[in-house]
Parts: sequence; structure tokens; C-alpha cells
Amino acid sequence: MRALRFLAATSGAFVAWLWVRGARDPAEWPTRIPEEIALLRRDLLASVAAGKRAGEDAEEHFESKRLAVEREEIRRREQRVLARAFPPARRG
Amino acid sequence: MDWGNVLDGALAFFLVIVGVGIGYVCLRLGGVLGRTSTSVRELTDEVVPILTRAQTTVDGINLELSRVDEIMVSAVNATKGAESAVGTIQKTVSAPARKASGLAAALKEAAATFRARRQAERVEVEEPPPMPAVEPPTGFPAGQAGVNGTADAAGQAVAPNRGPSQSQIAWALPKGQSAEEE
Repeated sequence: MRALRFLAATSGAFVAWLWVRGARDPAEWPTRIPEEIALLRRDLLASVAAGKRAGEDAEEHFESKRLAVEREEIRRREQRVLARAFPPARRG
Repeated sequence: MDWGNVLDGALAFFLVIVGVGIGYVCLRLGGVLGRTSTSVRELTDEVVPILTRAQTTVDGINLELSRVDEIMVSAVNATKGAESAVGTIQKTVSAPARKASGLAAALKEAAATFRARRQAERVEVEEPPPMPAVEPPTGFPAGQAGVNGTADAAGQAVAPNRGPSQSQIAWALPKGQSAEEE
């Protein structure tokens, strides 16, 4: 029963998707369904490629930012050590 | 008694005086040397225990310094360990954060790309309504200027490729309404 319900829901969603995409005549479904699926596949592949590029860029940006923060921390620590080893001369 | 005897007597007197002086000097020098010897002996008696105590103190200081050295080595090792631990933690934390940042950006970009492509396809699919053919007024043939330029305007309306573009139609229509429905 549950499987039947799932099947009915899936079929309904598929038909609704076709309806939204403009294929409202069932007679044109045999030609529209492959076209729609090909379009969807193309869009998904393009989106995945764009997402991969954006993700790599974001990771590079994150890494460069982390390295910059680390370099700044090392520089600050070196300055602290130097200031402790060679304190500034007191006046007066 | 001649002058030779006088000189001999003077020389003898002089030698006696010199001998007495030298004896006096030697006597004083002996006293000085005796006092010096006594001082050196006392100094030696006093300095040797001090040196012994100083040696003991220096030994203790060396022992403490060796302990401090061990402590410093331990501290340096602990600092290195803490630094490596902090580095490991930083790497462990930053790697997932980097991946999460990349994944978020990838998902956002993919969703935006998918939505934009679907939007572009929808705009391409929706054909613009055919432009109504406007007949030029009978009195003014197309392309000929009338009194106030109406014929010219009509000619422009009839001329092909002068209507609003597809994007202009899509922009002008309310959201969710296509050109076909108009």
C-alpha cells in the first residue's frame, strides 16, 4: 500500500512537472519527456560544473585568508618576543 | 801624618757609616718581611676556608643551573608539543571549515546557475505575441510624412524588427504571466 502511494505520488509529481513545463497534452509526452529530461540533465550538469568552480574558488579564498591570518599571528608573536628580549630604553 | 793617611781615615769612616746604614736597612727589611710573612700566613688561613665554602656554593649553583636547564628543556618541549597540538587542532578544524565554505559556495552557485538557466529557457520558450499589423492611414502612404508625422510613426510600427524585444516583454509583464497569456 505504501509502495503504491509512493508510486502514485511520484507519478503525480512527474505529471505536474510536465504540466508546469508546458507539456499539457499527453499526446506530446513521448516527444517532450526525453527533451525535458535532456534539458534538465544539461542544466544540472552546467550547474554542477559552476558549483564546482565556485567551491574551488571559495576554498582557495578561505585558504589564502587563513594563511594571511597565520602569517600575521607569527609576525605579532615575533614582535612580542623581540620586545621582551630587547626592551625599549627608558628615558629620564 | 800625610794626606794619604787622612784619606784612608775618611774612607774608613765612610765605609763604617755605609755599613751601619746597610745594617739598619736590612734590619728594617727583615721586620717588613716578617710582617709580610705573618700577613700572608693569616691571609692563607682565612682564605682557604672561604674558598672551600665558595667551591661548595659554586657546586650548588651548578647543580641548580643544571636543574633549571632541565626545566627549560622540559618547558621548550612542552611548548613545542603545545604548538604542534595547536597546529594539529587548527588543521583539523580548518579543513572541515574550508570544505564547508566551499560546499556552501558551490551549492549557492549551482542553485543560482540552475535557476538562471531555467529562467532563460522559459523566456526563450515563451514566444512574443505577434505584433498587430497596423495599416497606414489611407491619406498618408507609408514612409511619407504627414502633417504631424503620424504616417512616419505608422510606417515605423509596420516595419519589421521594430517591436519590443523578448526581454522587454518579459520585463514588462507581471511575474508569472507569459506573453502568450496576454
